[in-house]
Amino acid sequence: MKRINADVVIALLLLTISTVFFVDTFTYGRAGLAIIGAKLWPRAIMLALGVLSVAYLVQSIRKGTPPSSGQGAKAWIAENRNVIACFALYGIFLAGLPWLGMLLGGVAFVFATLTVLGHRDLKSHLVHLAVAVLSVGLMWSIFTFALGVVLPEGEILPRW
Amino acid sequence: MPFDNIIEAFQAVLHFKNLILMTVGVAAGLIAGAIPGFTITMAVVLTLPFTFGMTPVSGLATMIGVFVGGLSGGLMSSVLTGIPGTPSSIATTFDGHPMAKGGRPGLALGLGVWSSFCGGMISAVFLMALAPRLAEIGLEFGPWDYFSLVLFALTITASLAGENLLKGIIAGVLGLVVAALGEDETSGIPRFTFGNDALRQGFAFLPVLVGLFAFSQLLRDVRDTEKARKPMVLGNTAGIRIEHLNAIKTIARHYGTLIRSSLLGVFVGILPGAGGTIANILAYDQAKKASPTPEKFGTGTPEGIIAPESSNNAVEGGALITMMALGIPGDIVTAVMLGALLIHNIAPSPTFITTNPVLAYSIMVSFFISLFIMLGLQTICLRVFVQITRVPMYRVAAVILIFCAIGVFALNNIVFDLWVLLAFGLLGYAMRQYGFPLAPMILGVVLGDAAEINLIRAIATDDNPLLFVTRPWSLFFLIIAAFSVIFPWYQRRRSTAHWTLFYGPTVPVALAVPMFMMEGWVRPLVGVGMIVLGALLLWRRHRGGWVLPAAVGGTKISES
Repeated sequence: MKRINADVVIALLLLTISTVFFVDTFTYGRAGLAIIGAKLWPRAIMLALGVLSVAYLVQSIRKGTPPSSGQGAKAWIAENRNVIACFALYGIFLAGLPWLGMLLGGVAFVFATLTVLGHRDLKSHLVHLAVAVLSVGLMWSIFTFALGVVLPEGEILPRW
Repeated sequence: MPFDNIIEAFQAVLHFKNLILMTVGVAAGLIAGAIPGFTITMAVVLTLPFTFGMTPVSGLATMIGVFVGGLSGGLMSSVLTGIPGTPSSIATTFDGHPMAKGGRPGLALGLGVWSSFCGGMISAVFLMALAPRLAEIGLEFGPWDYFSLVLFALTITASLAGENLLKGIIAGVLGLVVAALGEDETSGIPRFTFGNDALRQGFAFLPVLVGLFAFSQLLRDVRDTEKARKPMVLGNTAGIRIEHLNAIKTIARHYGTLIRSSLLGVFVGILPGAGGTIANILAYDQAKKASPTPEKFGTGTPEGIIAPESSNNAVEGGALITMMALGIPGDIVTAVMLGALLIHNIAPSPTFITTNPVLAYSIMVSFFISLFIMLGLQTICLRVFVQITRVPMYRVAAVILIFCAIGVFALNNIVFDLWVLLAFGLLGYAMRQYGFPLAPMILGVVLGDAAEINLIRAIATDDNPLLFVTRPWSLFFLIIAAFSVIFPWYQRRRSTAHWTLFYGPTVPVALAVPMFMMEGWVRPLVGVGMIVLGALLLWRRHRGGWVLPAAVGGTKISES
């Protein structure tokens, strides 16, 4: 029986994290009650995470690979296409924030997301554009004028 | 004086601005609750950014409005379409939808609306009466007791939050890691930052919360293109009117079901980590068992609507009791509210009611008033709410994703928080995909600091670790924590393993031990009562031939 499944990989990842973070606690200084305080809790939780990860690893190995888990990376990507697209668009929106600002960047992000997820005909595009402009414009106005929050302005559309 | 505080709280909450905010909150909650795939937690989380600029009273009143609305909003889609709007209205579909299909949608909605209202009212009374008393007990807690209480909250949430206890506990510990990251408050030593200056301040609560809950949930909702493009709720709802009078008369005939289910809801709410989903299903099950006509359940019987709807609304009063009296969230929504208090620099603790009496009573009063607003809005705007749920999910998701970004940025005005949001969105999505419950993680994030501070205080005061088991309250919480860890195994093996017969009787007997260690005569007397209860349960097992029925359903909480 194949022993490697997603749970095994996650358990190994958690075990690695707990080990690296546990080792990190040895860099927090040498003496003093305050430093003992700073070390104690992180070590305790990392120790707990380590023990739990080992238990999870053992449980996952004993469980083996479920029969339905034979799908490859391609199938996984196809299944999660929308999610990957949304995360990518959100990343692009964040990267472009210094230039586009929250207003333009937000409209572009919502329009792009609606286009990726929704129907792709002219009527839908127009609806998507209207939804993007109105929703982001409304929220931007509420936060800027009613709540007094200075949202990122961007280089293209500076403060007015 | 509590009475003076209540009057002051009424004056604070009944401000015109607060009433408007609560009405908007209830309306938003009703809409969010009516949309399948949207959770109440998500609605409350998304409300949080709007409350930064408000006073704590206004902010919490708005959030409570959203919560009360959300609990009731799930009823609409449950009854009209058979799809529960929220996990806490699952059992409502069992009889609500058949009754609606049978030609009585107005009565089904009326029963739901009025049961929600009555359940909420009963729990509001308990909240007002019990929270200050429980807070007095909370004042007895030393750091050992409070640390054990946090442990108990984490273990019970983990054990109720999913099918895999181990994953639940790991999620809780990950929450503690997130809370510990950044500079140590006492020494200023950066922890788990690996030299990255951006991490020195730690993660703000809001991007973590929005990322884990809202972001990841929205992306799950749009994963299937076909489903995402369809209207969220289908079905013809034109011309439906709530039959108020008939509903009130019917509920009056089944007042026993209403009271029992509401009390059950309050009790479930008081348990840290348990929420409306558990209460809803348990109350339905209990109503069926107690009914003289259990065979009618599932065909559109009124009791099948009264029980789940009254209990899921009563949960909130119970959850608020634990939050206000002990500083421990009773469910995930109250965890968010605790986070909101932290944003306003109010630390949740057993002294909360004593040190912030007006704010504490304002929360209770807001809950009370929100119930009336909910009743009014559901009556007047039912069709409007249903119309809004006809929008395709992908449009709502795209708009809310950008709203998440704006709201998170508004907290500290730093773009780093938006990257944190993205990172925790990814983490939340992955956790959901691989069966890690999010509720324990959120509890870990919220309670991490309190756990650490109390552990350090305990050790600094006295380094004897035995104090954790020799102090009665600490021992009490550790015992329940131990039983809550065993609970998932108990549920799984209930009808097959012999040891499960002794689980129920052992709980009260074990809890009687710390009761005997307490001062005075009342608590030891309660201990005697617990031993009698344990003996009684054993005797019932003996009379039943040492056979237990299989557990009903696979009760687990999700993010109600």
